[in-house]
Amino acid sequence: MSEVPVALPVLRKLERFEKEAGMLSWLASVDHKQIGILYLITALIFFIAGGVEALLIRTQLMFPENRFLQPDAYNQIFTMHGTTMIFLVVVPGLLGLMVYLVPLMIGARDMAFPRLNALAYWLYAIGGCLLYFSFFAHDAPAAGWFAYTPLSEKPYSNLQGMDYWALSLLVIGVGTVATGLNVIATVATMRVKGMSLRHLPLFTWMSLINSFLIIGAMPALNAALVMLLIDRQLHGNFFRPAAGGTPIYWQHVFWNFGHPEVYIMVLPAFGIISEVIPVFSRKVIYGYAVVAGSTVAIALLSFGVWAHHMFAVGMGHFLDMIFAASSMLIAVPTGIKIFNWIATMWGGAIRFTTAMWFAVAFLLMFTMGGLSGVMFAVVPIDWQLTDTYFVVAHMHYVLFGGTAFAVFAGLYYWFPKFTGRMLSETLGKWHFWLTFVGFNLTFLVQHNLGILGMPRRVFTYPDIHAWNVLNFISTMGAYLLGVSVLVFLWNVIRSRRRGEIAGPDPWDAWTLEWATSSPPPVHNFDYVPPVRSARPLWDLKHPENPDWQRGGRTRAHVR
Amino acid sequence: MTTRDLLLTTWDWEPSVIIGCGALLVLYFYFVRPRTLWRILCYCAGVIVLLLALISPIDTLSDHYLFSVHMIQHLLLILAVSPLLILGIPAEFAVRFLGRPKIAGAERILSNPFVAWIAAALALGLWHVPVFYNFALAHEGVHVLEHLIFLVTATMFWWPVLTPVQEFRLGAGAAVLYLFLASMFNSILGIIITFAPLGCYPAYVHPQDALGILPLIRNHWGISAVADQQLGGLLMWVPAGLIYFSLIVGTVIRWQSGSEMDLPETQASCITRGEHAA
Amino acid sequence: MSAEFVHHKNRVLILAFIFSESIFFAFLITAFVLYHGRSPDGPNAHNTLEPVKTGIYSIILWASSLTMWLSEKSMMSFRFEHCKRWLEATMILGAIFLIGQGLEYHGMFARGISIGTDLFATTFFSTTGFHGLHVFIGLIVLLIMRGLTGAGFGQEEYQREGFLAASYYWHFVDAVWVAVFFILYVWGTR
Repeated sequence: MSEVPVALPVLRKLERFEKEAGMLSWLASVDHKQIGILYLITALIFFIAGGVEALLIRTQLMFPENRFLQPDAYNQIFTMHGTTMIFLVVVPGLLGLMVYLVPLMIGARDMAFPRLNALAYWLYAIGGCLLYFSFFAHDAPAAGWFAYTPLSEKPYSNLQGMDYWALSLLVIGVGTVATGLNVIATVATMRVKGMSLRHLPLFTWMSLINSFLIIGAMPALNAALVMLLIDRQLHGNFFRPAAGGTPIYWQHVFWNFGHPEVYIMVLPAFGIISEVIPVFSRKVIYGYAVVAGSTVAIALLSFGVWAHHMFAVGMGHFLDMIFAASSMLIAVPTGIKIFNWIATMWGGAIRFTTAMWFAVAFLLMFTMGGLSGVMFAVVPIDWQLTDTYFVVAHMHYVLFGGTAFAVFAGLYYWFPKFTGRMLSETLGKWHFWLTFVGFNLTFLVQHNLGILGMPRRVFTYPDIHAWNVLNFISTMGAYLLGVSVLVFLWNVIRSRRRGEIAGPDPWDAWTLEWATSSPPPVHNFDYVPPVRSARPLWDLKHPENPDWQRGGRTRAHVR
Repeated sequence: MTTRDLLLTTWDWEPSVIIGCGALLVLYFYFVRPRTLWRILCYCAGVIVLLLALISPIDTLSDHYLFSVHMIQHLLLILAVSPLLILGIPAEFAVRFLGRPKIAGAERILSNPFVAWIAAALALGLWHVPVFYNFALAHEGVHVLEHLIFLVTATMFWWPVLTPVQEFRLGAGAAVLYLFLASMFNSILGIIITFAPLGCYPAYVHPQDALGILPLIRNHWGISAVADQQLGGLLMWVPAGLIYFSLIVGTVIRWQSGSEMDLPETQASCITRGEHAA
Repeated sequence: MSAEFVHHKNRVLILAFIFSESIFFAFLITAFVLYHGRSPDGPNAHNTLEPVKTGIYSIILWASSLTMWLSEKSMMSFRFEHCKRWLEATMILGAIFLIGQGLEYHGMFARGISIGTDLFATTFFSTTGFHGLHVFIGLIVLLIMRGLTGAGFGQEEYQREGFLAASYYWHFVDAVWVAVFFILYVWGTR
């Protein structure tokens, strides 16, 4: 038995409480699985809100000279869309997966600090409501998701929208740091005996590195928000040129957070892909050490490239040059990972489940987003294309084509673990193809729009033939994406009640979360199998050929 | 004077440097007696870089004209020469040499990670304080001392990370932290210099143009005094940071692939400092 | 799960937290450095700060790190009475520092200097204010620790480790003040 005996009566009590309290237990829970689900559901609700905002934006842009939305409303909606998707959907959604899966993957009973975990979730939920409350105060923030000063300062945004924005992000930011700290403490101290840091499942490894990114980057955002709030509420002078302040300082501090944030949003996605691809290719991940090491490289480099968001500021020739070079460098560890995943699939017995479809599409879409990112590292191209729709396309290829596709892969992969039932594969395939086609229809053409010179964040545009056609296509793609989300929601609701029973290990997978029932009991494991390699369940199922006997994890073994 | 003339004619064959480098080579081949080719190559590369940093046009430019080139000179000494020299030392020699109790005692203090880190950080930080920096520029003797201190403290710094004796090396986690903190310090210093107001290092704002190459630098190369200081800070901030980063990543990958630490603890050699004499 | 791992979690958490918090302070201090000398006419570091007076309060704060360390040592060697006395001393020293800061603020308010007056005032009040807030939170943590030790806290290993975590936080707050004092009061007024 792996449990500490003293804890057992407490666990029984907890289990009984959860049964008796029913739905109420969700409010008071400190169980990492319930909190993980809460994170995911809340993120899904905000995803729908952000998605509706996206559809409003695209509807407004469907025709030239459209008057569907007023300019002010349009500014508010694109600001809310960006802020929602980044701070209320992607990051907390990934945090939800992290707090649900990390303890299971390392054979722990819960997070190191369960109550801190609950606090962090509620800070997020309340912070999100605070942001949306600004709509009821008749002034949603309208300065874009990076809220450049002086536009976000009192003289230019004089209603309460920006205050709601800054306060809610501050609340969420504190919660995010708390979860980052918690994951670090959990991975550092709660691992089951035998699981050295070198035997961590890659999702857990990347969650760990991601948590270091979080605790390193979020304080920059918090500092920026505090300074903005002091300026707005206490008549401070941080970013006020009239008093000698420098609005550019906001950009430095914000992008000090903002660039690592990009990787905060993508590292756990890399982790999901590193779990899904090997399992459905029936092969060990190719080059475990290199995948793990390149993650560290990405994390370190992400703190050294922020100024590439500021090429248009005019920081000086050499500064631009050096940051262009370092920004191109960050593509190297990312590229290495792509090759590792392709090499993992190479010669494998690939099972094309919906999860695998999403994972493979991730490779394609993310590579495209990455390549347009490298283009932006070239300073003249950045000058030409910055603040055009090319940026919008690039960003969505990274965050939607990258992170969202990976999260969908992860949801199809782990939904059986969360609920005990499989998601429907038929609906899943529909979901996948609608998403894939809708996504590319929406955003591929936006590259062209950007090159043709259409600026982002304009509420309408003149009647120019090429722009009209491309915008119309893009809007149609967005509607298709909307339909795909409905299919997904229907799939979740239907499978939750009537899906096929999954059993503990439906995919014949190798990491510890599949060693317990689906959904896991409150105490997670009755019995944790011995861990002697990165694939404890493979060792359990194949005593004749366990990983740890072969030594190297990197050698591929097709089954 | 054209760029070509500059590169060909401004070699400063300072005898002390040449004698010093020669001595390094003689000591190496006579006393250390290396046998592995890659170690010999590393060591020779270290000596050549040292020579280039101190006698080539880099030296002339850094003494009189460009802050950024002076930064390159310092970074070469700290990030190239010292590590390469350490990599050139064979393990057998290190074990034999450190077997003497007195030397082992000194090594224990000097290569204590805390002592080494702080010494290197202090050397780097203090010599870039304008008062000290300008003083060194104005006095040749102090300048030589500055370079020697850089070499010594950098060797102290790199020893716990790169020493050929596996047992003396920092563990992977400690090495990552050690290098990460060093890179942070280095980057912060670089950021300060990059964004500092012009005039901290006045000798480079209005150089005394003894060679008449200032127009070449300012007009032909297009490096103004502002750009020069910015470039100097940036070189310290980004490329130097990347060297630390790549070492961190290398450490993690090596540790993850378990090439050296798969040995059970009991099997690990129990050599400790000062016990090799027997 | 094996019990020997679990008991480091408080320390891991607090060390990671300290790393995170130092970055937060770094940006506030950077703002002071960046904007130093940009308010020549209004109140600025030269004509407002009193390094000697604040220096005395600073020494008191740093002394509290010493008493905290003694308290922590006593806790680790099960001398709980010593632990409580040193803890009380720490709290008194910390409180004196906060009072000193309050007097300093009061003096500045009396001269009509507040956070919105000029760039110096904005950066000064933000940096020292957030530091003061951290000291205040530290005092609450120490108060809780004092209450707990009074109720027999410290017998178990994990409790002592929790105490250690509180102590690390206190040392961190004092270390931040080293940076704040030397940059704002010494470098700023030189």
